[in-house]
Amino acid sequence: MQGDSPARGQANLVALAVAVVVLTAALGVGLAIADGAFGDAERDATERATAASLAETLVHPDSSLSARHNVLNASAVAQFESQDIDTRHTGLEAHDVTVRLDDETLATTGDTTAGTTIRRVVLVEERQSATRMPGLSGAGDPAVTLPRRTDRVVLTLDPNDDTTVSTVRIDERVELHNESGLAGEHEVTVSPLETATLGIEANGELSEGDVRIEYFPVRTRSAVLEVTVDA
Amino acid sequence: MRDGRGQLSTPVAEAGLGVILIFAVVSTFALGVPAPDTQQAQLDLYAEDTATVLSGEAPRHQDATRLTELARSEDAFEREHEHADRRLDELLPDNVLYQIETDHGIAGMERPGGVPYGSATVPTEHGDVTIRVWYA
Repeated sequence: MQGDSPARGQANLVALAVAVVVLTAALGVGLAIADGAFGDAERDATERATAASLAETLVHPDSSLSARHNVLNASAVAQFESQDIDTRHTGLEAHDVTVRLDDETLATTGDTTAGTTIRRVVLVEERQSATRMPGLSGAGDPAVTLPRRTDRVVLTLDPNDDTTVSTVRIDERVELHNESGLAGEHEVTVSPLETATLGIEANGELSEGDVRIEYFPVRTRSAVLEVTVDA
Repeated sequence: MRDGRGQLSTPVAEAGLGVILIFAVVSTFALGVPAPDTQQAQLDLYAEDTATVLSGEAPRHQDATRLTELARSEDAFEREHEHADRRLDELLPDNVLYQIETDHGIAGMERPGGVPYGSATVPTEHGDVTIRVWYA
């Protein structure tokens, strides 16, 4: 600085001010970037852990949605609502959560476009009612084998006045018996693990429609359950 | 500035150096936080889910489950492997490839080396059945 015109010092002062401003700005930007990097890593882990645990809870055998492990019950899925996420799975109030099944949104508590998604392969099981009205003509004790496995059978017996149905056997085991005659609707639980054969003992003719057998075969389809969490 | 023409004033030069230094440190943060390996966990879940589902399915002929039937013998594997292959294809999303390995052979696709894959092993009475999945 010695021997210089006073303007030099002034110029240097301006340069110094500019330099300080630039440095401060750079430092601020740098801190923001570093903070964002740490924040991203942490947030992602939280989201992922939350999504994974919620997905695990939903496909667990004890879940309100599932029939067995990784098998969802279609009627429970249909009743699943957005508020169930908060009421049944506490601790998710702070997060936005969306539960989807094959692109169909089952429940959502907020916008989760930026969230982390965990996908689980599941089966969706639906019990549908089917009915058979076997024509049990001929003498002897007619037997009917149901074409599909079912967990229960609803028998509606409406024999003629001169016919008495005394016994109904399922897989050789007596399920219903009344010497003076069976009539009306009877629900019998059967093993869902094998097809059931109904044997009907009657002392007369049973025409078509006298015996109505309603059974509930399972239809399963595979689907992907997606749980997205935005912390 | 008459005889200092062309010279950058010292503070500005220092500031420039300082900015470079700061960004050098910052770039280590930006690049140095590695992305978590999220594919692996998801693939393992896919494999475990398909194993669980297949373990719960009834066999087509005999044995306890479909997987046990697949592992029983050479003949059983020959007979069942295409069906198991189809079943896995139905279960898994379209962007996931798979193979299923028993002591008698491998059904499904050829697994390329070097890609991350998830696996799940189900012990059966005739030996282990391993399902491996990876992204297409």
